[in-house]
Amino acid sequence: MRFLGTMAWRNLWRHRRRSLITAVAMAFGVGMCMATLALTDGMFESMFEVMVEQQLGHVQVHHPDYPSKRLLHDSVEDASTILARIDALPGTEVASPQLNGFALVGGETKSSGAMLMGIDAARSIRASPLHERLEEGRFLRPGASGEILLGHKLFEDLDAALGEAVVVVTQASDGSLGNALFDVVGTFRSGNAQMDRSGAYLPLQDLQDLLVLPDQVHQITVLTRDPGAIEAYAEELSQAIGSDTVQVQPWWEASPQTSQMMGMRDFSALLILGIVFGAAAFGVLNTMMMSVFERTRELGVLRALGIRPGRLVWLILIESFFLAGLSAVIGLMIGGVLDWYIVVHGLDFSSAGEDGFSFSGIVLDPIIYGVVRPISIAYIVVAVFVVSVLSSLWPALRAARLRPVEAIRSE
Amino acid sequence: MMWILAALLGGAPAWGQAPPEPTIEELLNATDDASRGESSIAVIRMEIKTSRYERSMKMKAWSKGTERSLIKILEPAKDAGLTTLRVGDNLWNYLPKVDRTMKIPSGLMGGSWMGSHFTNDDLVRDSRLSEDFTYELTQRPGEGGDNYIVSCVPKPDAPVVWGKVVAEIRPDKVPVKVDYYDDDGTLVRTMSYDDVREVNGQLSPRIFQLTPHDKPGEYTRMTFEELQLGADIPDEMFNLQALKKQ
Repeated sequence: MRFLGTMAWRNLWRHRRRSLITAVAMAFGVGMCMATLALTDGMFESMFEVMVEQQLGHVQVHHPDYPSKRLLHDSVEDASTILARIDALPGTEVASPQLNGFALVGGETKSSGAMLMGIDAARSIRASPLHERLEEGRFLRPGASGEILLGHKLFEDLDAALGEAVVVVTQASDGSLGNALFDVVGTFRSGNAQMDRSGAYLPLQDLQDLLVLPDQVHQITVLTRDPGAIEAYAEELSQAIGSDTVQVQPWWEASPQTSQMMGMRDFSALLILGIVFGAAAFGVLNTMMMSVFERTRELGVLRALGIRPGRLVWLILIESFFLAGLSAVIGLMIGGVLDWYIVVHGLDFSSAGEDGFSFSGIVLDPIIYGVVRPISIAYIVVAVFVVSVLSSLWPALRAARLRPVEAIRSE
Repeated sequence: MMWILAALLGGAPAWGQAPPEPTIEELLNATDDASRGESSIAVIRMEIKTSRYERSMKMKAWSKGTERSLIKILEPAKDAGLTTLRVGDNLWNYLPKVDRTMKIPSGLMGGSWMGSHFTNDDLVRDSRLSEDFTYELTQRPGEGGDNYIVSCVPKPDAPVVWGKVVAEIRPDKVPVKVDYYDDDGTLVRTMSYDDVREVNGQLSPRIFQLTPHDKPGEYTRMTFEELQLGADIPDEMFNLQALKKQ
């Protein structure tokens, strides 16, 4: 084996130019794959952040009918008791309650329909990056009341000003016309177009009073300490709450659509790998085939000297293995530079949309920063080796089937 | 000779018969006008029953012509002072608690008015059965019932959301009930009239009940506790400045 290895290594360098061209071509494939995967991973990561962590949470707690019907009355009652039970679970990172309602929000001159979201500011700060997404002003102060945070488009539509009071009018759960004044303390830009156009955050307690839904919430989003063990956590939480009218769902059940979208992550990675390495396979096949043809005589001599066909197969396979190794090393360097750029500087997709890069209604940050997952790089390296070795099987078998006498005679 | 000709042409004067049979138009006009005269002041109790809540409100309503009305909530105390002003197609709510007036945007006109089964649109929509519909008498008194039944289909460009409206009206022109069907012919809601009394020499139902058929057991019932027809109401009553002063 050692002998075969030495020979394969030398063979590879006998046609330095051809080997290098093949290796460099494959290396570019590796580099492009790394860059593309870093980019898609970055995109999916930011989708996961926007769609799952910021909106769905890892686990959702709500009334069983709320997700499908979104009726005001399908609320979780005794919310403070349930929150206490969630907080008591060791796997809980943070739980953030929310009450939703539609309302008419009026500025001095203009009014607009809005989706009100009553939140616990202190919990929200820990659970969601909302407080970092401020356009102007400040976030809701924990414990304060009479404050409201508006989506930046809604704020513009209302012609509102920071510090000004807006009136919020809504149909309360008892049929009365809930109305109250709130001071605009800030505006946010969430990355979700609909939220920015109609979303308004206000203190949970205030919205409960306005809607006459005491101690009720529509959903509690929970972030867990270990995002890898969401399923088990959800099970545990469901038992801890122990109520038929309260449903606990991991995010992929709460939003099958998001789950489906996230499932495309692996599919798109495989697709990219398939395309790039499908092309690379032909390169390797060509190189190895050529080298076998050129060495017909030489291989014939080897056979005549008593080297068994099986060892010739090994020889060719080891050559392509070395070629793959060389490609991988150069490729990782190229990919490393590309990844570094994408991770540090990001790619600007702002030309794809006015406010951001839109994907199925969710607006992502127009600059996508790459995310390098070790597993993605491992896939690529494994793919290089597998593809090279597989595509040199045919030339290798050809070499093994040479008849020594004919091979030696050939020119 | 001339009267024979007239009789043959279908315009026979009904000599000797007691009260003349009302025309369909008269019947429909009476129905349209059951709740509104040229101008009126009314004190209304509104009882709302839904599967979620029951609620009772007392309100005072002023109306002048067909374009202007003002409704002020008197009870319960929590909502007292809430006032709705309607001028033409526009609706404003005055919210005394926050001392603000808000115009209801067109997107929310389909929403419920004060938690009742009436929509904001119902307050504004000013269709008249006798003008915006083509109508047909489907039953006369004695033909299977005591009352007239008139079937009305909206004219193409009428400001009406219904596919068909069927009104049952007593021979003395007092409405009994009106059924509202959607475009698919499904009965959506019924307005029934009850407790007929004489107001200013005119028979008028005192209780109006709106029953939505897609929500079993729910209704909104309006009882006219006081009704003054033909009142002299100043125009200044129906503007935004006056809203706050009411």
